[in-house]
Amino acid sequence: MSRPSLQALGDASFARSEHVSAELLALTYGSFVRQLVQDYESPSDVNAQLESIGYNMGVRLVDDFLAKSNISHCSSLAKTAEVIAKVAFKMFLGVSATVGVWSQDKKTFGIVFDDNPLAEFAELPEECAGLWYSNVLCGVIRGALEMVNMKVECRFERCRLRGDECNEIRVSLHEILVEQPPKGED
Amino acid sequence: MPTLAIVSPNDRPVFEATFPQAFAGKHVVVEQLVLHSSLDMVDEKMWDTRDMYLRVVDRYHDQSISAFVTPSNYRFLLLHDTGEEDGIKHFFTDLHDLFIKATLNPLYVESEPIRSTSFHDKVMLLARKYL
Repeated sequence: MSRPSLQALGDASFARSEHVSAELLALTYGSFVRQLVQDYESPSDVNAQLESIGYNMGVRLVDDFLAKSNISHCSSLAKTAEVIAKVAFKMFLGVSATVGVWSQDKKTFGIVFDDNPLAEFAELPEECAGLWYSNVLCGVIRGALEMVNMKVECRFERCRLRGDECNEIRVSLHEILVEQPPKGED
Repeated sequence: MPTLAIVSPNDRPVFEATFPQAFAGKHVVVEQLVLHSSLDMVDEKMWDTRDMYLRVVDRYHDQSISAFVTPSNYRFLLLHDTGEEDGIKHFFTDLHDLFIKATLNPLYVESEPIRSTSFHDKVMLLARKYL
């Protein structure tokens, strides 16, 4: 599948799915993050919580994604990256992302996007300087890829809330999990 | 030198600024006192009009205090020289827009001081434009 058709697929999946108001999403997610900020002392704990919540979402979301998007098997990590950026981001967030710089060993790539509907109204106060506001997205990607047998690690590299010119999530592949039969069966 | 104060519904000061900024720090105590003492007048006058902009609500020597009440009952108070009321309505309306954006920030806690530097800078720009 060529590049423009992935884009079209993303647009089509987005058009087909049900929409909610951007304000509702941004404010709901915002008050959720705020509650976590109140409950946990340090921003790094909040980041970890958001990531693990995202993981649980990703584990479930990937099924929905595969069912609705008609994506076939991804033959390479490069293709996976394109699908996440062009189709998955468009489908669930309504924004298109692009695949950023690859690392030397071709195992780490960036997902770069300008608009972040989750952080629509947010602005980081000083005491939250270490917070990755949209860290839930990292968890979602990790959870989703784990369900398709790819063990990855995701982290935010750049965030507009911190004054960077765009948002970037770095995804690095650790290993491709091999399906194994359950223990104790021959 | 115009002085701005934003007061929360439970009468806590949320934001204060003096224009132009170079004057900040001088006489501020008197101005704060004068501004906050006009809150009673605001409470009275807000029932006389359907507008959020209440015009001049109080005077102090040769200076006037204009006020604006948001639907959520935040009060914007501006101390300025009498007779320079032209830009104030626009100033308040645009300030209201900025204020809404600042308070929509999920990490902002209601009735706490607004410490966002971008809000501060934009208010300064507005003041330069209208006052």
